[in-house]
Amino acid sequence: MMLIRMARPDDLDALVALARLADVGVTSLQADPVQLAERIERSQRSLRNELDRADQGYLFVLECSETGTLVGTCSIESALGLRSPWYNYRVGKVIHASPALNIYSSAETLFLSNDHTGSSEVCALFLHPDWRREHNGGLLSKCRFLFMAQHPERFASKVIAEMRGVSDEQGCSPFWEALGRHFFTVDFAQADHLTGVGHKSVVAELMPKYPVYLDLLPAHARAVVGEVHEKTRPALAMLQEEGFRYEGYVDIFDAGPTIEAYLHEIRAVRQSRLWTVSEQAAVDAVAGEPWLIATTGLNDFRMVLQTLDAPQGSLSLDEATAQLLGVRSGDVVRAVPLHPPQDLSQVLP
Amino acid sequence: MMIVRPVRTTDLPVLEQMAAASAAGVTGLTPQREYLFDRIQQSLAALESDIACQTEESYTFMLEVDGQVVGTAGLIASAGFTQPFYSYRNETLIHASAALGVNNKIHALTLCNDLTGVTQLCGFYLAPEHLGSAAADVLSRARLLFIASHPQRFSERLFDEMQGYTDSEGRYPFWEAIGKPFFKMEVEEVDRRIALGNKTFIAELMPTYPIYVPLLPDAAQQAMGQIHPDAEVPFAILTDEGFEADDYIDAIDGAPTLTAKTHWVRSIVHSKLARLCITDNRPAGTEPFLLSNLQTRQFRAGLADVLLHGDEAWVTLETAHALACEAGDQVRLVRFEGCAGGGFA
Repeated sequence: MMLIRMARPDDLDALVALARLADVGVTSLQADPVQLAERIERSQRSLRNELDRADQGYLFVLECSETGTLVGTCSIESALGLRSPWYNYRVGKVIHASPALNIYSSAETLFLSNDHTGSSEVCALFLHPDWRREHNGGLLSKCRFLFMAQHPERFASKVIAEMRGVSDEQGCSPFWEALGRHFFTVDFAQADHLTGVGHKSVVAELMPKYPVYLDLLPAHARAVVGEVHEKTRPALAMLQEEGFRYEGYVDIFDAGPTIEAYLHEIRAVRQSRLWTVSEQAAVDAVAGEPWLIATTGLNDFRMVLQTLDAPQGSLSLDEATAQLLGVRSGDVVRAVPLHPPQDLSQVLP
Repeated sequence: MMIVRPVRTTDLPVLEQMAAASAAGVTGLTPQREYLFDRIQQSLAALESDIACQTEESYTFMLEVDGQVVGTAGLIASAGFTQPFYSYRNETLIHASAALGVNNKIHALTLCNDLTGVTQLCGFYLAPEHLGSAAADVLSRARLLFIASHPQRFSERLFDEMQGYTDSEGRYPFWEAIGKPFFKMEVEEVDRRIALGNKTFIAELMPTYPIYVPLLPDAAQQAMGQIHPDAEVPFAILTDEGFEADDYIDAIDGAPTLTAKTHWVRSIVHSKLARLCITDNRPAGTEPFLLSNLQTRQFRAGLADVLLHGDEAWVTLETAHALACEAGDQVRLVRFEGCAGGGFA
């Protein structure tokens, strides 16, 4: 069975091994033992509420419970840009019109912004390529929403996710080549790395500060603004399903979209609710659908996926699942269907 | 002899021919009869008036070679007086990070009205057969002597817009890259509208934020600061006078705009006043000088052999007549050191 739990110090080696498999573009996951150890430490201190909101971040892992193998990871940052500035380009419009000449032209323009300062971010999701099957991707992505739904006071009202932008097999980004390259004399992978290890604001110091007219960039660079990397499409679809939307913000390096949602409007937050556990012998669900079931604690946050028939009154868990979650009959769990149900009456009280 | 004099109403037909023959977009030479007639009247009015400080006057001068009108050149006392005047200012932005050991110089263009109120040299046209001769120098520099004699009519800075580079198909690469996306029209249409005196549409359509030059296509970058082959002679004359091409480029075609401090311009700072003396014979030891009288309506300037002796300028009677001067009149003169724009005919 697949289990989501908080990362622990003894996960370090496995996390480093996992991060080595991640490509350029997953900026917030770098295979640096020191950095990863710091992230685990930071996550644990966040759970104990020992850090300011500005420094809080949570690191989750996906484990195969039978073997104890660590196969995926993801994170939440509580508040962006409160220590060093958080940058995006906002794709805005500038209208140039001359009524006398009957000319009206709309120029798409990139404005450097810090608009997402203070927002929470879901980030650094990586799933081992061999485990990209069944519901593992959804499990990893959406565990964060159950955690946030249970502990909303720890997060901002707006949640964002940066989607990886378009780059070729060599890691070369057309947008970077047309824009960033001229201002920052290194290649995209290096800039991306610097960003990942916390130098994003330094890098941003080198980027253009005045608005940039998109019409003046080459067509192949314009074409990728707000577009995601092919490999990121499933992740994008998953977040869109939860209500995340592209509102015109893109990454300053690869122009990948930043998508956003208000925390209380995220589908898994809005539709999740607390259930009382009733333990019973394993029964195959008949017309079941996959549910995410999470515990309500902090340090001992755990989440599994189980196929359930529409629960009535209480939530029946088999013994193995209950054990894995560390819950017993009468305990309370937070649960939500993995996907938006067709029939809302199943979940709405 | 070559003589530069103010334009007259009777010059209208020849001015029309010159405007038709000149490149599109030359300020002051819009090939429209009414427009040119107005320019002539403006020049006549400006020369007639007693002007204590510059406003919207414009001046048009004609070059005669042996009695034939072969060229024209003008001055606008204050650019942008009634309609805003736009240029791109060359700016250098430093993007540096000490932590990363990076220090990048970024060239950016900012649309500006910096040249508002500055005196503009404009409307230069010379018949092609005279381009390689001293005629270009006499025509261009005569204006500078006029400015030197009547400084209250002009500003402390001067500028001139050069004609921009075009590719083999006659297009301006700079316009194609920067102008067209915003204006959605051909450059000829823009020039036509500017010439008609309505520049509001530039403010309405032009990009208002700075343009980062490294982001532009190569063709546009290369065209910036480049001049059209036809502009080589005027360009050489003015750079010889001390004009510089560093600060501004034309907002439409990216051509360099030459600027100078008025009192640093060579023909102005080196010119001096002398008393005209007439001799029947050509005296020994003469040198070529560009000289002018100090009149307005009767302004004359020309190239002549002069024997400068103290504050006396000895010339032939023919020269004195050509300059509309009599013995004893004050003249302004500056040594003519060969032509910048071609061989000395």
